[in-house]
Amino acid sequence: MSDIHLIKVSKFFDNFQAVKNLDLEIGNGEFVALLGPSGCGKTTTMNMIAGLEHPTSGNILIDSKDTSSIRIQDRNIGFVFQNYAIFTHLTVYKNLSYGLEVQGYDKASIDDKVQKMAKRMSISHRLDQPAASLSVNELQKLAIGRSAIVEPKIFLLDEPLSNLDASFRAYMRSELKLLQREFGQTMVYVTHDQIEAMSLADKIAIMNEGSLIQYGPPLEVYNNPNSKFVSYFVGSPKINLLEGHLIPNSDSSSFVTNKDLAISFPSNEKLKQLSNSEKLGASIGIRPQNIKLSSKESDKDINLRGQIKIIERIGAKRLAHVQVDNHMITCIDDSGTASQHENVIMTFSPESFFLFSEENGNRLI
Amino acid sequence: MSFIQLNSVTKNFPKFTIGPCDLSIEKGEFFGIFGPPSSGKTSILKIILGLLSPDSGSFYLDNEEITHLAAHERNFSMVFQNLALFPHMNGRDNILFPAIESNVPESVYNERFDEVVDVLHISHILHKSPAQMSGGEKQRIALGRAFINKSSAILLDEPLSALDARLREEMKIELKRLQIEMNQTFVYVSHDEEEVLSISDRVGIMIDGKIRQIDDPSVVYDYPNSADVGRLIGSPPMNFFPASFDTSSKHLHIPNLDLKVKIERDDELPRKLLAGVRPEDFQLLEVANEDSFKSLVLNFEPLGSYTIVNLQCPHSEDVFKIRLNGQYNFEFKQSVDLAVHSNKVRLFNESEDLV
Repeated sequence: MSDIHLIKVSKFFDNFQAVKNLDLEIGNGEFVALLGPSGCGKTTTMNMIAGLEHPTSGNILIDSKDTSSIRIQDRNIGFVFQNYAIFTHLTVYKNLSYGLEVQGYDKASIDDKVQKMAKRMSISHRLDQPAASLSVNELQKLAIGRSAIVEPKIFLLDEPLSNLDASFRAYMRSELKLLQREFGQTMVYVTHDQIEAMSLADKIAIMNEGSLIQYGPPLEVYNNPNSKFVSYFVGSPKINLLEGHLIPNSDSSSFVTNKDLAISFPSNEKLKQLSNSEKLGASIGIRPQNIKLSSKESDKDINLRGQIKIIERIGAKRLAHVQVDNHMITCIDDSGTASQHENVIMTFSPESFFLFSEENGNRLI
Repeated sequence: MSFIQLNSVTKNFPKFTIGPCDLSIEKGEFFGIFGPPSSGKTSILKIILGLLSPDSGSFYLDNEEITHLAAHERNFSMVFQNLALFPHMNGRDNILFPAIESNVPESVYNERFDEVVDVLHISHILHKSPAQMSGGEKQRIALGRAFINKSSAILLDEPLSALDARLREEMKIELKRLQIEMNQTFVYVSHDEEEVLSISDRVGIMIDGKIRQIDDPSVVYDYPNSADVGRLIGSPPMNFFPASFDTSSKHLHIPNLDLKVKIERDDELPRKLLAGVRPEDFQLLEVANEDSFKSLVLNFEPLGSYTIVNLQCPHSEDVFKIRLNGQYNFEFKQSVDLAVHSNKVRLFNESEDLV
């Protein structure tokens, strides 16, 4: 299997910079997700690794060899496209056997491998049928099987599950995880869905507007976001973000939002260090699961009073969307008894929120 | 009779039949229709809209029969999956199009326009053309266009599927807020079960052309009326295990889990059953006890605020999933002790109906 190094890679399309000075190390056999919103540069990055695009500047090394000297067909890369790119004029069997034929395997070996892969992807019963007759879900399985069958050292997948319905997506997530464990390839997976990235990846590379924002294991990125953007993009349900000004003092600091909601809390070590500044433009981020609904205020926590506007039930969880002054804040209803229009008290610990600088979005606390 | 009423509606296609379907939607309701792809849910929406005519059955709107009334006379608005905004018009003109086309007086539609723009927060994008708008912005303009005339109901066909995952979550709540604020009846179709169940007042589950269950999402979630429905609801969905019931000891035996559970019920239960347990209804124990069973961890998904674990059944090749609150770390093939409370086990008989 192969490792991949991107060193100060930039890509321009005319005047538009799609990828900005990207440094990324993907280890041998690692499953790395490139996660970010539409237009962040993740697909362009993957296309450069594949060789479908060339970097404008910087280097990409595969197994320490600069890719500018390796032809695409020699890079040993399997690519699963978002729209499958299946050979619709061929049968399912031929789609699977094609790559092996090109590589010069004998008929018996090809048949053996095709039968095994079809069984692995649960499409054995479709082998003799034209690929065009397959359902969307079956096409997806075929696309993955076709790439996997030639045993590439690097597997690149570009939003492979985005065309599938929700329950099949969840099923394929489990399948992909098992596949990767079995085959052990280095996998690079592009997605805009943070649940997919969290569920599948060893490491997540979060991108926005062409730049790499944070790179680390899923729980690291979730528990220790380095910026407001990462805290917003990763985590389900979505984090609550309040923008405003921090007024740090040595004993007790306060935060006033742009919509005039004021909260105060005891200053911890980091806040004491900031207390030379007068007023700091900042955002507070609190995850919904760190906010509790309570019937009374708590001395050691921050308390907010508001009215429940919407109850959202997501399977096992109930979320309450609460109007606090001019803000909508989401929290989890553990009791399962909260109701719309109810007036409530929300409490959260001062240890549980993140503080981000308004200037550059970086994490302060 | 309900505001929107379908009675025994059927529609025949060459390889597929929809119905007979009965559907009653109340005024001001957020009614969701969920089902796997090709279950017939978009066709039902088209029958309501009037783009398809039923082969039998009747359709009433506000007590008036409109079964064969032309689509443009029905006073429904629709938000399409691909939005279908007019690419040559800006946001404002896209929204106003239905009002102008149906000869609504300018003073009337101007007032309505201001209301709609305010509720949707779109004053800053009205001048843009669709090509200049982001996915979320286009979505709002499509909604504005659906709201401009006071229609009897707004029909939405997978309106969020073109959006990024994070934006989908935000817009979902926006849709709910809009529906409540504008006091409008919504009929909302989606293949995303979590999405439909989270914001609908009631939901209809469609499988293979038939509506199998209609109820409050909480009821459908906690008490699916059949294993078919149970298999579709929940992320991950309900786990199913073959089971047998011993009437004398009142024990439910689940051989794949090597588990016996005491069932506190007085009614007659069939001997052979299917036991359904939701992933979040398993407990992870620190130490085994007399009611627990062991399983091996195959892999796990760390999703931040919760963890999904894929486990091997102790006595079969089958895999089942559990959902734990919080963050965990497991080794491949690590043995864990699990328990399940008897009142969380749903029982289905041989025809796979809930008992």
